[in-house]
Amino acid sequence: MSASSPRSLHPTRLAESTGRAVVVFLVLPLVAIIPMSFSDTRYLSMPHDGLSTLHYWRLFSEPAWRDSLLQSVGVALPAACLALLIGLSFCLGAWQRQGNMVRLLQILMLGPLIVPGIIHAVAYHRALSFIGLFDSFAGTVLVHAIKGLPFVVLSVSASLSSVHPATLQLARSLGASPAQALWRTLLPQIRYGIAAGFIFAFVTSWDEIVVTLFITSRNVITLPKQIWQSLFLNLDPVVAALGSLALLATLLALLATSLSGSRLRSLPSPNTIA
Amino acid sequence: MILPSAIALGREFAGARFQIAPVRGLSVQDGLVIGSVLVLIACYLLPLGAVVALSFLVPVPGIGNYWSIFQNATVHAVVGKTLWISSLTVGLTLLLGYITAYALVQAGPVARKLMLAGVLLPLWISVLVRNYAWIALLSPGGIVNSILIRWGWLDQPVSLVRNSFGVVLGMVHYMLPYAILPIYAQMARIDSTLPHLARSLGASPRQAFIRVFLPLSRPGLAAAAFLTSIMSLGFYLTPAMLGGGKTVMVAEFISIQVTETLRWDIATTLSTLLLLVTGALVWRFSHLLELATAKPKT
Amino acid sequence: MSDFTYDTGYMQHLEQSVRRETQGKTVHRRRFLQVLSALGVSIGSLSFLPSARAQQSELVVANWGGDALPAQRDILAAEFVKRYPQIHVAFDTTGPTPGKIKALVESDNVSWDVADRNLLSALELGRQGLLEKVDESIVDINAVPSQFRTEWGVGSYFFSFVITYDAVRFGSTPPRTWKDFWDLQTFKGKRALRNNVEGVLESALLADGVAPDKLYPLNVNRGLDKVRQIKAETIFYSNTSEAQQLLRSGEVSIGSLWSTRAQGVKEDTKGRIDYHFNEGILLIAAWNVLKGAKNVKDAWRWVALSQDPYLQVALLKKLGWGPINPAANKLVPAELQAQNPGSPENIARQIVVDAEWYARNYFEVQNRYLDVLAA
Repeated sequence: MSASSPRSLHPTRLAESTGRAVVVFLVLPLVAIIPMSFSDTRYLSMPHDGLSTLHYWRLFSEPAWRDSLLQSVGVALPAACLALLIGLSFCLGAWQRQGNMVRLLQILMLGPLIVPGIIHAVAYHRALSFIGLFDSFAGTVLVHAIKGLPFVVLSVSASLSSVHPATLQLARSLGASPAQALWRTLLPQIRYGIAAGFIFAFVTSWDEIVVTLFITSRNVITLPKQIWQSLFLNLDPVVAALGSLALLATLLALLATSLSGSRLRSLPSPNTIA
Repeated sequence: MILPSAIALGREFAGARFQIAPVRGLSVQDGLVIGSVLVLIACYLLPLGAVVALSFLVPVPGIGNYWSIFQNATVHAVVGKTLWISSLTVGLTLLLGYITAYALVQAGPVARKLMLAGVLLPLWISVLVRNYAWIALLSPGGIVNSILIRWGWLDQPVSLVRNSFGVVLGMVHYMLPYAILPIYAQMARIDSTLPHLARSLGASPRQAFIRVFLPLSRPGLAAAAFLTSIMSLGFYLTPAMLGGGKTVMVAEFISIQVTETLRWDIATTLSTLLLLVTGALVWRFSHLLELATAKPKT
Repeated sequence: MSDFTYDTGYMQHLEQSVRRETQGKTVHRRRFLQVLSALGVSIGSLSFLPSARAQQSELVVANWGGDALPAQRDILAAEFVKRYPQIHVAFDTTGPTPGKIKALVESDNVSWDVADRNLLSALELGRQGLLEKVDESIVDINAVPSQFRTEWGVGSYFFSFVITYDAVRFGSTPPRTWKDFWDLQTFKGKRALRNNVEGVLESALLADGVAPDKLYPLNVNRGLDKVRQIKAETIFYSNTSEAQQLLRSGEVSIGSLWSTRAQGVKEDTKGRIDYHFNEGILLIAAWNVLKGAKNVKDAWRWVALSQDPYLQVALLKKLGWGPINPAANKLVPAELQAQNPGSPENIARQIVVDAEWYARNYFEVQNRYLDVLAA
């Protein structure tokens, strides 16, 4: 991208157009979902002879989709709560601590984000069978919570790092009980970090597929698993309808955040790791 | 509620009781760390440790599994393919990601917002759906081929998917946001006057870039390299869906051993090796991880 | 597919599972479970959680989804409920892979009773102690010829890998044999083979000139070499709906598909895609009953029911399952015989897979096949 290009083509110009092309490349398959969702065929493809809204209709009328949606909420909510509980405990406990031990523990807490999903799949496939929680909600919630944990740790410790170290002592010296000091002074200051961690833990569970495929069979069918089944076994175009709606929702959410200003910018995107 | 049982879980495994609400704040902190770490040990490190242990235990105790893995031609082929595809995709992703991040920094506020939205959007759409969209776009009967033929760039359809090309494309698409965002975050921190300063001091544009801008953006690039390397080694769904069955990478191979051939010896041994490689990468890049937890974010 | 029950049912189930688990297990494991279920109970009280636990009176059938679900539901399950009204039949379409079966059996949480698999799986998994032995007091094993049954399962229907091709493209000279399938010069276009080795080696060896009666024991090296020859021009699919799509979209010109799915794509394309049974690789499906299933008795009743000649014909009509019960073959209407993989004429043109050979060699050969694909 530097000086090797022809003189007439400025390197920065070239970078800009390449960058735009990359963004188009990123959005391209998302755009392609929309016509596929209006396909008139019974398998996933572009429309053949005309457009049809049948697949949207099926998305809302078939119980399998509604059930899996409910199940996904039923797994993601407790999983995110559990992740928050563990992650928040750790961050509050480790706050303002130094040393190799804490550093090691921090990295361990990030493990579920770093270790490849297939290893989690193998590990939990085995472990949950061993303790009799294979294909159970409790087991799925537990595994999803662990997968969401790193996001809680990342975002909470990021917001803790900007809290004044003497906050708690100050509150105590003014007569607050330890609990009051925590609830009234510390937690409010890191509420965005907590919210962000919770949201990301929720989304992690909401989107989890690889491990879920290995630890569940009949009792637990989350939304991604329903997508997997209908794509893999049937090439069902309902998936395109679902994808289009997800796209619409995401666009609206992005629009809302950009209108509501910068507050939500503190949400950790994957770049939090940097 | 959850808290007591979570603590009980930790306690159970520590084999020791600890006081959860003593008088001084410091001990509460200790309790919180110990409790959460014990949960992590019980619910995470134990299952992972079991995988490692199994690799030394089934079917017979010893290091025989590792010995046979190193001699297994199939594993060689799969690992070789994984390394080749991973380095290619990581290289491409970093190159394109760096350029795009640069374009983001250079863009005006509106254009930047739009481009950022485009970068973030794929993160919210299931990778399963995205992969099938690629198939619809790129297969010989797909839109891209018909456009290329109509424009006269092609005589007959070419296979752009269900081969290694498709896998590389799908993986790069998946990883790009994870490369662009950290690089962009780092570049946005660079004082934009610095390269100009360098130029005014007599550096050529090329020198200003290589000697000033590139080193300053390096931490972001390193973070992106770390993220994408780890991701690329563990890819499972994308090669399985876009590879036409011929791009079997380590993760898919492990999954076949678990679901289809029931070869737990191979599955756990390969998982352990993959874990080791991941651990090595974490070791190499651990300073990046500390940064995230110990220091304020931008 | 799943029934929703709320907190109390869920807690009861956890309690039950704790009780069941704590008998005769090590202390370590019991404690672990207790604590975890305490965790689970508290989660259950936080939010409603669907608990699709198999009731005592429920029979859970695991199959591969797709067209198989409505057919099995409307034909087999409907008749089953008629005969045993107190039993509720539920389907799980998540795919009964060996790994899932092993995990379920080992976790003592066998949420499937009977799985739609095949005879070689009955041998493989049965020998590993993962399946129940056939209950001969319920199942009449003599309803199928002796070569189509094993200790852990009796054949339930025939299906075969058949040469499926683009009839418009090849016109009056369609590919007739596996030699044609391998002949990339005469028959242009890509090929589709399954990424599972069952049936593929037979095709390859036939294409290489091995006589049908000399196939077993399979010459693995020779077969894999033959696969290598067309590898570059072949897409290896993992599920049959993908293979159907490849043919429909014209991405491949010839594929080796299950006859049942070949019929489906033929109907979809109004005959543009066609198939025949010449040199078809005939496999024997068999219901596998999981070891320790909650409802073993009804599972074998299900197997016995599926041998009913009338139902076998109904399934042929709807799904293309070839009746394996000789009594059923007499009932097959003449117009259906052409698409019946088990008709005497079609059997004579096909090769019957040797389940015993695969049961001994499958794991190793499958990995070597992957080696060929991945290299």
